[in-house]
Amino acid sequence: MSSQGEIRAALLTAANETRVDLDNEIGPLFISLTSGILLDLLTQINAANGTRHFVKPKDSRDDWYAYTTRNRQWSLGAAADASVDAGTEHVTAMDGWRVSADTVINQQIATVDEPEFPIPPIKVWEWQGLPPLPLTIIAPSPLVFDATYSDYVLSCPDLVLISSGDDLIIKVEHHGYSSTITLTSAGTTTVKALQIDGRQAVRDPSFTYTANDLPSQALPRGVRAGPEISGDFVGPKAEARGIAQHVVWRYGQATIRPQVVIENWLPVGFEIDLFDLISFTANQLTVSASVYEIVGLVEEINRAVDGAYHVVQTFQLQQHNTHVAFFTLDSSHLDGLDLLAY
Amino acid sequence: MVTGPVGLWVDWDGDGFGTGAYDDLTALVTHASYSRGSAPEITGAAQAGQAVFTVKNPNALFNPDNDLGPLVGLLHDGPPVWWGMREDGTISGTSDAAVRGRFAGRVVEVVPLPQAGAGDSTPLAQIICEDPLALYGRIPVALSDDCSPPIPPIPPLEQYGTQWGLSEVNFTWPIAAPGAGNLLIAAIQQRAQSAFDSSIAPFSENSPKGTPGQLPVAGTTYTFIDGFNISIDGGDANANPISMFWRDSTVDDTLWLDWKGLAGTSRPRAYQVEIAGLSGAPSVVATSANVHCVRTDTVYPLATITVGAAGYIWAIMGYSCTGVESRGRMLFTPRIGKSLLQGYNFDDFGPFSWFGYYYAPAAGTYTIILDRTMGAPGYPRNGDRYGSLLGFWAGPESPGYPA
Repeated sequence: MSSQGEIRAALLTAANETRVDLDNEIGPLFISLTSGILLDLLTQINAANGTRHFVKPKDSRDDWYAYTTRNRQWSLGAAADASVDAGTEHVTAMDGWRVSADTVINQQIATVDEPEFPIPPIKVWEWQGLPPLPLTIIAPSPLVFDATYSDYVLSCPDLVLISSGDDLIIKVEHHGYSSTITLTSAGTTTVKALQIDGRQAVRDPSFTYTANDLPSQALPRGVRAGPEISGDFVGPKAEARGIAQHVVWRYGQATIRPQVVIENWLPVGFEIDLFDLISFTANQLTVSASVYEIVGLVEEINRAVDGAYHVVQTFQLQQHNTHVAFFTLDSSHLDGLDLLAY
Repeated sequence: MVTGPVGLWVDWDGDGFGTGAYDDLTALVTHASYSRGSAPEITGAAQAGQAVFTVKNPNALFNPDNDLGPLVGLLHDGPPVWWGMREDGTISGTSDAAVRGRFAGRVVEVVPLPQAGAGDSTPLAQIICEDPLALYGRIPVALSDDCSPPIPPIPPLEQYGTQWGLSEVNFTWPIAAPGAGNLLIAAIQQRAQSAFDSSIAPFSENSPKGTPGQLPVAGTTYTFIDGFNISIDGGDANANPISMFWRDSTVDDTLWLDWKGLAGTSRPRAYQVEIAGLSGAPSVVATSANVHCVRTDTVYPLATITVGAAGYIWAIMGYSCTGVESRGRMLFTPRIGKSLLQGYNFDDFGPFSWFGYYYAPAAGTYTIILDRTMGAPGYPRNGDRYGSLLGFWAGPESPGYPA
C-alpha cells in the first residue's frame, strides 16, 4: 500500500522532475500503479485530499524553481505572514469585497469504491486484436501492444502464452489498469493462445460520505453542494470522510474573495507567496486585521528609468477560516494549544 | 538570504544560465507581467503560471527570420527562463538586498513587435513563457512494475553461436543479451588461405538464414581486431588463418548474422558470443608463434598475454589440417580455464579450432596452452602447426560466462 504523497513523488520522478518541494500527504491508497498525463494525475490527487500545487521560483537563478505543494493543513491556525493597511500602504484598488453564494459549499459528497483482490487469479484479458490467433512473430519485428483491463489489476499478472517455433523474449510492463507487452522472437514464432491472468479489483458497494453544514443550509441559500470527490486517489473511507468534512468546514459559510492591488510594497510584497496569509485593514470597508489567504498572484513590472522599476502586485485573496477551535485541544503535554487535525 | 544574479535570464542553448552571450537579457527588459496560477477551492484545478516579458530588440535580435542574428536557430520554444528581482525592486547595479525569484518556466513564444510604417527595425519584442505546470499537461507518465518473466540465463558457450559451411557461415542467435552496448565478439578460422584477410567481417542482416544477397544492417559490421596465419610445412595451400572481430550491440540488432568477404571454398568455422557488461575494443591483443607440432609432445604453450586488471581473455586457437579430429583441449595457465568451445574439422584438410574464454581475476600474465593428453593416437601429424589469438577486455564478471 502506498500513500498519496508517495504516488505524487513517484509520478514526478517518473517524469524526470527533480525540482520539488513536497508537503506531507499521508493518506493511504489501495493502488500503487497508474498512468496518464502528469498534470491530470497530480490534479486528481489534489482533488482527493485538498492539496494545492504551484511552481515557486527559487531565489537563486541556478536553482530555477521548485514544484511546490501545500496540503490542506497549510497555514491553518497560523499567524498572518504580512500586514497591509490601506491607509498607509500604496493600495490602489480593492475589488470584490462582497459576500457571494458562489463561494459556498455546505454539502460535500465523497465516494469510495474500496477494492478487494480475490485469490486465485482469473482471466482479465485475452487477445482479440488483429491479426487473429494464431499469429506469427519474426525476429526483426517484435509484437508490442497494450492490454487494458476493466479495473485495476495487482502486480504481477501472469501472461499465459502458447507458442511454437523459436523462443520468445517476453517483456511485461504493468501499469495497474493496463500492461504494455513486448514479444520478441529469436527467429520465427507462432503464437496460438495469448491471455493474461491476474488479481483484478472487485469493488465493494460504494461508500458515500456526505458532510453537511446544517446551519449554512438552513439559511435562505439552501444546500450548495461541491463537486463530488471520488476515484482511486481518495483512499479508504476515513480519508473520504476527512476531505468531505474539511471542505464543508472550510467553505460552509460565504467567504470574501477580494482582489487587492498594491504598488511598490517592498520588501514585504516579495517575501510572501501563494497560500501565505495577509492581515488586511481598510477603514473604507470596515475591515480591521482580517486574515486572508493568497490564492492568486499577478505582478507587473514597469521600467521607470534605468535601474528603477515600478512594481504592481495584484493579490487574489480568500477569507481565511480561523475557526479552528473545534479541532484544538486546550491542553497537552506539548504545553500549548496544539493543532491536531482538520 | 540569497544574493546573486537578478533580472531576466534565458538559457537559449541549454548550457545553463549565465553561459552564453545573450542569456542575460536584464538590460533589455522594459516591462514584465506574470502570474502564479492557482484556484480558490482546495479541490479545484490550478492554472499554470504565465509571463510576458517585453524587451528591447536591438539589431533585430529576436526576429526569427534574422539569419544573421546571434540567436539564429535558438529562437524556439522550450528554453528555460528565470526572472528575479532584489527586495528593493532593483535589477541592476549592486545592492545588499536579498534576491527573490519571481517567475520561472520556459519560453513558449518569441514575438517581434513591429511598428506601423516603413521603419527598418523592430524596436521591441515579447518573450512569452509558461511555468512547468503547463509542461506537465503534456507529459505522459506511468508508474509501472516490470513483470517480465525472468530472461533465461545466457546459454552455455557450447550452444552459443558456432557454425561452419563451405563458402559462408551464418548464425541464428539462440538469444540476444538484452539491451544495447553489450560486447559482441566474433572469430573465424578458414582453410587454404595464404593469409588472414582483415576485410572479412560479420554483420547483422534481416533476411532469414541462408537467403542470398543479404545487406548489412547499418551499424552492425564488426571491427577487425587481429589475424594470425597458421601455415604448414607443405605450403600455404593448406594454411588456416584465424581472425577475431568485435563490436558493441545495438537495440536494432537482429538475431541473424552473416559474414562477408569469404573466399569460395574457405570452409570457415566461425564463433560469436555476446557479453553483458563489457564493451569496446580489447585493451590488449596477443598472438602466438607458429608452433610446430611434435607427435610425442602433449602440451604446447602458445600465446602469453599480460593484463593490468581483472577481465576476460577471449581466445581462438586452431591448427592446420590434420586429417581427423584431435581431442585436445585449450587451457590457460596459471589457472585451468573453463572448458572451451571445440570445433571440428570439415574434412581431412579442414581447419580445427577452439574458441573460448578465461576470466582473469586480477592483473597478471596468462598463457594459453594446448593440452593433447586426450589426443587420438597418431595425430597430429608432424607437419602440423598451432596458433592462437587472444584479446583482453577489462571488466566485471558476466553472468553468462562465469569465472
